[in-house]
Amino acid sequence: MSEPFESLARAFPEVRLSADAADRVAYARDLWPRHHLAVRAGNVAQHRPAGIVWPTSTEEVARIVRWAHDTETPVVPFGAGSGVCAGVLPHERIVVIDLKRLSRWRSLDTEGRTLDVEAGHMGMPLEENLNRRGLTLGHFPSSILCSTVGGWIAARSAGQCSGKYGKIEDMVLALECVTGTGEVVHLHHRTSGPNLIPLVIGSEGTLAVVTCATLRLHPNPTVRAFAGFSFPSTEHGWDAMRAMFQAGLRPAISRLYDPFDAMLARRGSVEKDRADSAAAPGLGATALRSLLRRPGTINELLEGAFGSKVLGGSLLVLIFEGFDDGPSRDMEQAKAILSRMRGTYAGEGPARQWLQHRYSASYRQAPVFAAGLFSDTMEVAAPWSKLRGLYDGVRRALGEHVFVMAHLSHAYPDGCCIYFSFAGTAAKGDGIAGLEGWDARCELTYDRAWKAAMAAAVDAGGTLAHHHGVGRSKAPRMADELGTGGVSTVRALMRAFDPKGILNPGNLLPRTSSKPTLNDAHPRTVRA
Amino acid sequence: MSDLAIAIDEPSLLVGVVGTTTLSALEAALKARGLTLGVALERASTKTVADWLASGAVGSASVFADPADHLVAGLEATLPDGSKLVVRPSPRRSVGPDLIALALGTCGRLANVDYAWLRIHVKSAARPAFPLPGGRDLDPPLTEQENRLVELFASELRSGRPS
Ligand SMILES: Cc1cc2nc3c(=O)[nH]c(=O)nc-3n(C[C@H](O)[C@H](O)[C@H](O)COP(=O)(O)OP(=O)(O)OC[C@H]3O[C@@H](n4cnc5c(N)ncnc54)[C@H](O)[C@@H]3O)c2cc1C
Repeated sequence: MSEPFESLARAFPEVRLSADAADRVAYARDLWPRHHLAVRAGNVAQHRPAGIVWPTSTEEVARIVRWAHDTETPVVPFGAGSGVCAGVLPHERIVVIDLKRLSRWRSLDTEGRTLDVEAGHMGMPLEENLNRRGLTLGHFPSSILCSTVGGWIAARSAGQCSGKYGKIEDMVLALECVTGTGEVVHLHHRTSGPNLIPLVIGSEGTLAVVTCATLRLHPNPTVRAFAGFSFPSTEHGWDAMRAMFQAGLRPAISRLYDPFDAMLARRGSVEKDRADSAAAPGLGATALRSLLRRPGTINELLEGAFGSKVLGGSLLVLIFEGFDDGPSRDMEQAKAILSRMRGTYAGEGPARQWLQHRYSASYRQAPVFAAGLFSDTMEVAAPWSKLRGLYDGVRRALGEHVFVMAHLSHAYPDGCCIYFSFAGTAAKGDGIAGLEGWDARCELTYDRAWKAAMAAAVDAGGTLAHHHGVGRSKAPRMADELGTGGVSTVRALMRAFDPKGILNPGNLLPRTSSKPTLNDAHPRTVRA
Repeated sequence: MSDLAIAIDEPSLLVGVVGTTTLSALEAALKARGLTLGVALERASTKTVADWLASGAVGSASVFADPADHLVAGLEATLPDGSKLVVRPSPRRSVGPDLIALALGTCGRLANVDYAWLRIHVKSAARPAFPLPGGRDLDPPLTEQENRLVELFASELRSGRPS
């Protein structure tokens, strides 16, 4: 046991903690796909935390953070570790504070439709318990099975039904959190401001540890209306989505798939029950690996009119939900708009099938990695007027390095999120001198693709992330996103909330000093 | 920032507007295109956009009425140390704290709006509403603790330490 952790154990004999080797490995990373490459190479994270602590009350969290403040020990709040941006990347001096034992419902107001729930509550049981009472939070991230309320708030998460219920930041009425000095603060929503809640939401564990949230609830809908629509191109599809949202319609689900993603969605809806062992339908690992070494050619082929024709155009999946005849009336209005905009009704099937398998698509990374490849996703957003530039720019930037497809699943009256999914393989040619091994060269492709795509997103006037957050993977690009004024503002907030910089240092913005020490987000040598 | 005092992005239903523009001038420019800010202006119409945002955008709908919508998509502001903050317009983002909150309803204590990207509406379009059931005060007074935090932010922002 390391010295700081021993002192923590002495200070809190009643709190559950562990410096067990297996626990330290389990808490050494989140689900950033670049970590998976190291794991595949047989390496597990070298920089494991000093230990893990499981508080059960806000008071315990506050005492632990006060101890960390006094001893200048860095700490990392931990929800369920499903983050995909290296928001959790500890170090041998760091103590991980796992919030999952802080997971009670403090109070439910069924009339006012609010719930006070502690931050460590897991997503799915929360929603199921609400449903049993005829209520819903309306927040359905694909990771609902493996993420917590605190993690959602910390990362500004978006659920599948954001078009109707908003993102997590649209659901928070009050927050209880512990600042970097160990003070418990209570923040309240204030429509006319000042509203400090939006400053803590999205702060990814760098300003405060979220311990409890008051969330807005909705009556659980009893009726749904379903439809699928085909469009000649993705742009036709998003023009139609824009028209719907600007006409005041709020579908719970509106997901537009580009032609390739649409083809997978159409096939997947039929084959999902048996397809979980394949990275891409019908292709062996070797064939895939060699195909993906020329991503530019495949991307060009599939993106053009030829691809659209062969693959069958883009597909919009639409679901309205509510009560009585509300959803069917909304659907009729949507149908009228979409058919004027070159949408062809494809029946209820695609939407019904999507709902049935709504969480399965996100858990198909393992076979891709097992095939020697890698995959990841990038979710950018922009106003509608900039969407074409963003779509083309990021697609082109990624497409030089990896095979790319896209869907648009979070729309608003003023803009939309584009969700790129990509898969790649080991780099060849220039720049690989000194890089031995398949996985190291996969990392090179991975880094090149991300670097190019992030630059393209900013150039096109888009935002770097719509709902996955920044972590350490995008931190080096935050100056491009926020400008120097924005970066110094975030740093000023960090100093105000956490004067000693003990909360998840190095996350969100690159670290500026070596104290407290932190490892690099891109460790080259990770050995078990 | 656009060179125009009022720059309408019709496809996105956004308007970029210089902070010194009055709400009535903005509403008149929008009206000419069949658009509206969609807020109950009444007494506020002589206010400038910057003052209106600083004093809490009175008359605008609560974010809970239509969670997919919002009032301010982006802004440019001057911070207490004189430096500039630019938040580019975006429907939503997940890139750290929402810095727009520093300017909304803070009466210029944390940031002064120079330019704002606001949501606008087609006059004839329906506005969905899913209001929170009554009873909850959505504008409670600032607590002492929150006030102390605002002071702390202001003093850190004034310190003008480099990024
Ligand atoms: C298969 C899959 C699908 C996904 N789908 C979605 C999706 O649809 N929508 C979406 O938004 N995201 C999605 N994600 C990303 C991820 O699930 C979200 O970012 C989620 O919000 C993280 O929650 P968590 O509890 O796992 O947080 P963690 O991964 O444990 O932490 C995330 C960050 O928040 C901080 N943090 C965690 N808890 C607290 C707290 N209580 N107080 C302060 N800081 C804290 C951590 O330090 C870290 O920086 C997906 C991820 C996976 C693996």
